[in-house]
Amino acid sequence: MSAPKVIVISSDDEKFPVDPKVAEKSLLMKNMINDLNPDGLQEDFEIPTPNVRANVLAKVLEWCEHHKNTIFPDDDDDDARKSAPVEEWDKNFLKVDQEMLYEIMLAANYLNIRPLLDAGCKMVAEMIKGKSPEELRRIFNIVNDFSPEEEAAIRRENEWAEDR
Amino acid sequence: MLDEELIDDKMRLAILYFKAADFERALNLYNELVEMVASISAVEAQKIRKHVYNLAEKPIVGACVHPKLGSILDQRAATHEKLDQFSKALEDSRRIVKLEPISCKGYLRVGKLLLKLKQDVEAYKTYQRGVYIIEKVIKEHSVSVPEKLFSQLKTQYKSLNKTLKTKRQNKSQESQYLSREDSHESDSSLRMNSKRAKRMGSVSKPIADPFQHLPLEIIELIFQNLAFKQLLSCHLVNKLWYYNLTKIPNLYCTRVNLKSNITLSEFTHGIRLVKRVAHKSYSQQIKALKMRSAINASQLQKIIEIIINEPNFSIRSLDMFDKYLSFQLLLNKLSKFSWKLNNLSNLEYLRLGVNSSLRYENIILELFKKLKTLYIVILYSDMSGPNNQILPTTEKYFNRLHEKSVNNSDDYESMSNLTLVNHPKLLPGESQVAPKFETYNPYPIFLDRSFSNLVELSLVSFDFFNRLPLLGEFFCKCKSLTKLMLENNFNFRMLDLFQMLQNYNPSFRLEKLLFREPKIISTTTMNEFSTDDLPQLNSLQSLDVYGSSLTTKGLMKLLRICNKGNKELTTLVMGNSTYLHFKTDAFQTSNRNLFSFVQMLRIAPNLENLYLNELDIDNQTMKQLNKDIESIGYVNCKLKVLDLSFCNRVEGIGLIDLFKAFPSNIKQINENSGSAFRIRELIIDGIEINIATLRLLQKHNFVSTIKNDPNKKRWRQYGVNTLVPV
Repeated sequence: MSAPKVIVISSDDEKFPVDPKVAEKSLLMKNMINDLNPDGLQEDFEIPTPNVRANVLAKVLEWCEHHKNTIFPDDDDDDARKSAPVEEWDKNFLKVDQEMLYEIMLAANYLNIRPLLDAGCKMVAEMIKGKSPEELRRIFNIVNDFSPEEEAAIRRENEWAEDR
Repeated sequence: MLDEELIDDKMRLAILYFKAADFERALNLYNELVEMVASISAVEAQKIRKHVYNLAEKPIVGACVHPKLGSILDQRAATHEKLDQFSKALEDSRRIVKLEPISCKGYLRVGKLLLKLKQDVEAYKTYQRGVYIIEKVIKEHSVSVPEKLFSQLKTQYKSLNKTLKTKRQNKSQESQYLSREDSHESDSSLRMNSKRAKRMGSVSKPIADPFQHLPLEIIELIFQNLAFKQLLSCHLVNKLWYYNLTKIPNLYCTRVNLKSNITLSEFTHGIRLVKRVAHKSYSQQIKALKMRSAINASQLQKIIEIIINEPNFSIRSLDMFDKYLSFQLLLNKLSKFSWKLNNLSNLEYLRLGVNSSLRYENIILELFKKLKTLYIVILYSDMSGPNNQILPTTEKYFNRLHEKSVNNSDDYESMSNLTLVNHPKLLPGESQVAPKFETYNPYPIFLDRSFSNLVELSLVSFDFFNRLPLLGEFFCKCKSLTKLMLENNFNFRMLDLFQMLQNYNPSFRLEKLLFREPKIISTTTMNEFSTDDLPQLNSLQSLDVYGSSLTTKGLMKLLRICNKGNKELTTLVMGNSTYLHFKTDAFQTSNRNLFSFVQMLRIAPNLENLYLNELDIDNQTMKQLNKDIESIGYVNCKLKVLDLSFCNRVEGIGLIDLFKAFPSNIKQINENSGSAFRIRELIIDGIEINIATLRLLQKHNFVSTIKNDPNKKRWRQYGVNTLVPV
C-alpha cells in the first residue's frame, strides 16, 4: 500500500490528495493531522476546508508543494519575517488578479500558513508604498467621502510624524 | 471582601427560579450576580481564590477572576437561551471561554448556540479550537478537566465534521462567504457590497480595495510593512480606511516617531490621535515614543511635561534627542511633579541625546528601576554648566535621592544593554574652553555599579585615566556580557584591554568585540600573549579593530585566538589600520611582514564580511586577493560582503582583476560552468569607478549589489559605523 495521503476538500467539494508533508505547511492542518491521529497517519485522512474554494485551494496547495522543503524563519521572529524580501518565485506566483490575491491571503490566514500570508501582505504593501492619498484612491477606485473640513482636521492630526 | 455566602445563596435561588421556568426572575438575579462578581479586581480575586476556595492564587491559564464567575455566566447564558436571546447568550458563553480557555462547558455552549444560529462552520471552528487548546494545556501543565464534558466536546467536534461534509454537497458556491462574513462582523455589510458588485460583473476590473475584502488582522500585517508617515497619509484616502486603520493600536503605539523641530501644537495634535488609538488596545500603553528635536527650548520643556504627566499616556520606551535636553532639565521636570514618574513608571528603554556632561547619573538609575536599555549620548559639548542652575538642589527629597543613589550598591539586574557616548570634544586636550569642574566630567560613569545581567556594553569617548582597574572589576561583575564596544577612549590602549582580560579574567565569553583607538602611541604586536590566552575571545563572531595599532603579525595572532573555538568569526573590520602592509605595486624591501589573505582565510574560514576600507592597497592587492582565494578554492570561500571604500588606489581594472572578470575568463566560466569568486555585496564609496565596469560585474553575477557613492566624504558615519557623534 502506498503511503497515506491527506485529502484536502474545498468548499465546493473538490478533493485534493497531497503528501502529509505538503499539507503540514498549514499549521492548522498540521495540528489537525497530529491531534486526530496520535499514532501517526495510518490511512488517508480527509480535511474539509469549508471556507476555501477549489481554485483558491489549488493555488495554495501549489505554493505548499513548491515550498515543502523550505525552512522559514520562526513565526515569533517578527524582525526576520518583516525584513525578509519576497522571493522571486513567490512574486510571480502571486501575480494574479487582485481578488484572487485577497482570497489566497484569506485562505492562508485561515489555514495558518504564515509565510504565504506574509508574502501576500508585502505584495499589497508594495502597491501602497510611496503613493499619495489621491493616487491610492485612483488605484483602488475609491471615492473621497470626507468633507473639506474633515480632511483639514485629519491633515492637522498628521503633521507631527517623522518625515522619513 | 465580598460576602461569599450571599453569592452562594443568590445562585441557589436563581437555579430554583430557573427550574421553575421563571426565567425573567432568574435573569434578574444573574444580572445582579455578574455585576457583583465581575467588578472585583484581580488582586481581590487572588485573595478570594486562596482564602475562601483554597485554590492557587492565579489559574494556570486564563484571567484571574472570581472562581464563580464562569459558572454564573454559564447559567446566565442558559437563561438567555431559554428567553430566545441568543446573541446575549452567545456573548456570555464567549466570555467564559475567553476567561477560562479550558472550560469544556464554555466551548460546548458556544458551539450549541452557533448551531442554533445556523453558523455550522463557526461552531465547528469553536469545537476544534476548544479540543486543541484543552489538549495542549493538559499536556503542558498536566491539569485535569472534567472527563465526561471533554469527551462530549470531542464527540461533538467529530460528528459536526461529518455533518458538514455531507451538507457541503448540497451547498452552492455562495457558501464560502458565510463563514468569512462572521469572522469580521463589522465589515460584513461592506463585503455584501463587493459581492453584489461581483455579481453584476464589472467590465474593466479596477483593483479591489483591500479594506473591503480583508479583515483587520490582515490589514494590520499589510501596514506593518509601511513607514509611519505613509500610514498617516493613508488616513486621508476615505472614511473606511481612516476608521479601520485607527482601530489597530499596534500599528501606532509601537512607533510614535515625531518629526524634527516639532512644535508644541503639532505635538499635542499627534498625542491626541495616538491616545485615541491606544485607548483601544489592551494595555493602553505607548510602546515606543521617539522624538528628534523640538522647535525651541521653551516648547521642549512643555513637551517633556506632557510626556511625564499627560493622563493615560503610559510609555514603555522613550527615545529623545534634543540640543536643549539635559539630565538637569529632566530632573527639574520630575521635581515639578513631586518625583512621581507617572507615565514613565514602567519605562524599560530610555535613549537620551543631551547637551551636558553626565552628572547626577546615579539618580537616573535610582528613579527608573525597570530599565532594560539605557542609551545616553552627549550630542553637544557644552561645558559652561548653566544647566546646573535649574537643578532642584534646595529640595530635601532631591538631596536624599542623590545621597541614596551615590551609596547604593544594589545590583541593577534588569539592565541588559548599556551605551554611554561622551562627546569627543569633552576629552582632555580637545577643547579650547576651560571647563567648569563642578559640571564637567570626562570620566566613564556607572563603573562602581553592578549590572549582573548586562549583555551589551558600549563606552565611547571617555577618559580612562586611573579608571582601568575600576573597569576590570566592573567586567568581573558582568557575567553575561556578549557584546563589548569601546571606541575613541582616552588613556586606553588595545594592549590595556587584553592585559585587563588576562589579569582580571572575567568569566564572560564575547560574541562581538569592537575596539577603536583614537590615537596610536605604539604598535600592538600581541607578543605578550600566547594563542591559549584570552579565552573571552575564543568564540567571537564579529571583530572590529578599525584604525588599530595592530601589526600584521599581531592581527594574525588575534585572529587565531578568536577562531580557537568553533571558528565562528564571520565579520572582520580592519580598515584604516596603518601598521598592516599589503602586497602592492610600490617598491617593497622585504615580503616578510606582508599581510596574507590566504593565511587569514585559513585561520578564519567562516569569514563572510570583510572591511578593507581606507587601507594602503591597490590594483595589485586585488589581483593577489583573487589569487589567494583561488588557492583555497573559490567554493571554500564564504565571503559575502567586501568593503573597499576610500582605497584611493583601487581602480576599475583592480576590480576586474579581483573577480577575474575579463572576457576570456567570463566565456570560460559560462561554458564550463567553472567556478568564480562571487560575492553578494561590494561597497566602494569615495572612489570614482567607471559605471560600465560596475555593470559588467553585476551582469555576470560576480556581485549582486554594489554600493558606490563617489561623493561620500568619510567612511565613518554616526550611528552606522561609528558611535562618535560628529
